[in-house]
Amino acid sequence: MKPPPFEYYAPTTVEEALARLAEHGYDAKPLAGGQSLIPMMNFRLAQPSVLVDLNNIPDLSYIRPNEGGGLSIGAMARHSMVEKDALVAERAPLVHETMPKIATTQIRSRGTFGGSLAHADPSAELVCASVALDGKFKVVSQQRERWIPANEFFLGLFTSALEPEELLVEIQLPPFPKRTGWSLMEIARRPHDFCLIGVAATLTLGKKDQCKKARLVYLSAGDGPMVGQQAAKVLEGQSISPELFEEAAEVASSADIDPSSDIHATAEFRRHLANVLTRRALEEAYKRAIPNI
Amino acid sequence: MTTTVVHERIPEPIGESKPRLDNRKKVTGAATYADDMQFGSGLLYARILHSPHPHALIKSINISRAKALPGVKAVVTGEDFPGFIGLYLQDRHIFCRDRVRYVGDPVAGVAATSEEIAVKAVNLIEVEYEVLEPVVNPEFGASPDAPLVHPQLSEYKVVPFILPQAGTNISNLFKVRKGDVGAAWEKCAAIVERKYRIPHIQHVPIEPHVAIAQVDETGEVTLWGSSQSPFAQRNLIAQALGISQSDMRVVAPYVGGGFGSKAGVSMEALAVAIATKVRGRPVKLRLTREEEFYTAFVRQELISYFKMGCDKNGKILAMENRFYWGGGAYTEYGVNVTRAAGYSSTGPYEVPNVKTDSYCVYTNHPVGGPMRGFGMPEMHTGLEQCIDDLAHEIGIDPVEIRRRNCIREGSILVTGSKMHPTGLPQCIEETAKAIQWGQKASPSAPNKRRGKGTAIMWKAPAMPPNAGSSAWVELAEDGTVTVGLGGQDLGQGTFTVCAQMAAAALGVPYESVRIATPVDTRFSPYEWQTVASRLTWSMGNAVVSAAQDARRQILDLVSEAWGEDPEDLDIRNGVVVSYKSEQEIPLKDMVIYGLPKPNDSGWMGGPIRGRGKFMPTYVTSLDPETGQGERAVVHYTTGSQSVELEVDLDTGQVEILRGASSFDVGKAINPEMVKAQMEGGFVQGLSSALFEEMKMVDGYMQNPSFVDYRIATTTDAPSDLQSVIVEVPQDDGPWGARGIGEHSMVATAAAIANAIFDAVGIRMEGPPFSAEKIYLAMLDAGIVE
Repeated sequence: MKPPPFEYYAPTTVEEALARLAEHGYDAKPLAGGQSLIPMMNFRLAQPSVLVDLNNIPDLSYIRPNEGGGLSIGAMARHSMVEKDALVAERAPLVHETMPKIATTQIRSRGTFGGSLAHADPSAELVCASVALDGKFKVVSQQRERWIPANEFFLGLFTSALEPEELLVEIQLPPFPKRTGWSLMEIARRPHDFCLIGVAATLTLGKKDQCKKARLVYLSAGDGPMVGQQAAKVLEGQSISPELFEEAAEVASSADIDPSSDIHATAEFRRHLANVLTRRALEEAYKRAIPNI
Repeated sequence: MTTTVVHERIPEPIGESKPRLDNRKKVTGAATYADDMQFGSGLLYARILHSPHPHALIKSINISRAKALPGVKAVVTGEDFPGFIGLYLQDRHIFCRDRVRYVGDPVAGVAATSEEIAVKAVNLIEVEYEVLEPVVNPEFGASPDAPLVHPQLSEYKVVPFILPQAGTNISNLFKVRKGDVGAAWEKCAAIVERKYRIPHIQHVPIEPHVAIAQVDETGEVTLWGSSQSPFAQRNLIAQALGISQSDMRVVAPYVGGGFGSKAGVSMEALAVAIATKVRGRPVKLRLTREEEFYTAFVRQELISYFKMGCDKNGKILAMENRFYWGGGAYTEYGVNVTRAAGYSSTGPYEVPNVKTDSYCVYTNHPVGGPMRGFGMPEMHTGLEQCIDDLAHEIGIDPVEIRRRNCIREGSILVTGSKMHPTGLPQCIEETAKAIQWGQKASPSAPNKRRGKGTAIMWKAPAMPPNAGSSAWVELAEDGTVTVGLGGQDLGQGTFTVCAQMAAAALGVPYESVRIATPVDTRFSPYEWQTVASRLTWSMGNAVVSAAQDARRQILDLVSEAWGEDPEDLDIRNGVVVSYKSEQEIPLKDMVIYGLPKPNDSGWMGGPIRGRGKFMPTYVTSLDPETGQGERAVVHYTTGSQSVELEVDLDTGQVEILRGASSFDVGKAINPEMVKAQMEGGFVQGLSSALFEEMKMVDGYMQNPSFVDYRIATTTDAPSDLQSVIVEVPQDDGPWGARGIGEHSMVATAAAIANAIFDAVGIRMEGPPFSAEKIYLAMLDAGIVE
């Protein structure tokens, strides 16, 4: 199917793009890599009457180091660029691990880092990874500029804190904490499909190798990125053991997530898979937190 | 006429893996597909109004608002086209008249100056329906309690070998009664009974269906389309319109995948019907992917019951099989799947006592049509699991039970005929060797279990007994050769293979042979259809015969000119040579302008054009009560497939680690392309085993897009995929060749199911074997907690 008719603008500056968005409000949608928006338009799930194409704005595609060890990624940086970037590998190992798991090579060559986040799909890897890493998002409009923490950005199914006249322009990731391991695991019908369930995990160890801090954020597990808050409570402050991971997995899969049934899997099976993946992800993160183990 | 085949010497380039003829055109984008063709500003765009109900009566149709929309040139309904259409059973109208029978059934059509206007017009057509109870299960559909999908079944025109049952939904019943099944059971040391259910799947070619039709002022019709069957379309559409076949022309450019879905006639008839109302203007209809799922052919669903028994040595004594084929709303083509499954119902085994009932049942599902394997994958998926279970029951290795029972040369087959020479026993050994059968490797992780499975198959071309092929061979001034043929290259490489055969039979380099494309029924020689894996064999024979005819003309001419015996002459590498006088003359010096007569007394010869044909002459009919007869089919291609896989106990996920295929192709004309067929078939079989299912709820498809209907891609194929060619020649195949296109996906799903059983000891009713299904089955079996 083809999308319904729409007006198309291709601004060359952020200011011009913001002016278009201000002018058209809810009728307009920014077009980044188009890997989600265009299929949704073809399926008539999205019917914007105005598209503001960001692909001609050169200033939005970059990866820069920040003082203190973090980094900033421009919203229009392509997935393939982030995937191959040495700085990302060094400073954001979870993102580095996540990138090749996003869809297919073809989609990653076109899709963008910011586009994926603004789309706010609860089955998107970067949505959950950015929450697990406590990223923050720079959002601008003609009137103002504001920073939104990742865990406040995603409001629900395909819904973010972005106002219609606002544009996501940059993602900032804080320094990756020391003694921290990471993991991103998914189970899908085929490797590159939307996953049935997935989890982005970080695990920080304390001085006695106990769990100091744990973040578990689940994909395809509810209306947004589902944070394993109760599982984190089970983990934090405790010494690491297989039993501890099992308990956390049990709590996360029964209490922290809210998956639904569809033609690909039932909610019960997704909970079961979340349990399995939680254990596996925590084990992998633990091994990475103690490299010499 | 049967072609004489030279078995003694295999000439070049037979058996060589020549590069495909269409490589450069496809890679550079020069290849023209139907949707690429330009028809100028007069082109009209057609859209179809489809039934939203699985089963309903049409009470009224109001087209006045659609007709009044500016830009709309025609609106047509079933009222305009009262005739029936269908390949084996004429059971469908081009547009529905009084009743709709599936979600997607065409109710009305529009031609307009743009696609957008056509869509708008379709939305303005008002139809009033009276909704009826749908039939959604073929087994129930065959029962007397089911509502009738085709109350007029007994009045439909049908070919003699298809047997509709009046007053039921059964559009064909094929029966086998061989030996005495009832008496055999008590002699059995082990008996297993199983039920399987195979869902509808679809061909999903990359290129959706597209057709452009034009009717000129005199009534002559031209159809351009993505087609496997230009001549069958010419015949069926001409009959439906009541015009001469010679006034109906079908032009078939490159095809972007068919797998059976572009055989026979489907949406093409809609385009032609609409075009009759806007004479002089071409009308284009192309399906969206959603329409492809809703309205194009699908593979039949199957509910199958098997009962089989063997003696204490594992010798199979009896089989009793019942098949309920869910043929969908129209079974004009699907009735023959039922027949093929019947006459192949024992699988590739010699079984003395057989009882089979194979029912084709109307349902209110999409239209079942031919799909790669033509019923054999669906049937073998159950049968070959049952054979494994029988082996376990009697305590014999699954490969061994196949060795002991598989058909060999001279075996008496299910229909009573004798098996021709076959390499099946060798294929079984090849895949067992490739997969290291009998050696259990340890799993890659503690939470995984590893298993191996094997399955064997047979399949005959399912076609009328007298399906024919023809060909011509022409030479140009420079000695290059053009081969005319009417079969279609769907990507399987038939043009390349035919060029190789023409080169070999004529004695010219492969590089000098072209194929006359696109296939055009006005200029190309007749070919029944590009289906049934029959082209290498049937069309190949016609091409060889045409090339031999040209060769004969050339040698007769040269021998007369040189005063030599034609037996002493040969054509080598494009040059006529005499082994006696050692004279030689390049073809380019004589194939158009002939040769001078001696003493300046004039000229002889003239443009060379060879012609050839092939039609099997020996297929007999089968007794309608017993399914027995002298020779049911032309031949069977046989083969074996094995897989090794791992199952994740925690998640139920399956990873296919390696696969092996071995098929007896008689003679591999182009070995690399034969292997490509084996690999491609394996991956499509894998896809049907693990991913594919048209999810139907009350007659409505739930997943009509690639987001929700999953097919295997390269990342899902195992990197270790072995293909072993076995060559036991076919007596009437060119250099012994027989087909391989479909066979390579027939046994795959069963082999995977058997490997899953080997790994974790579970069986499922049917594919797709999703992680959730496997996990739940493991839970049920107590393998995991």
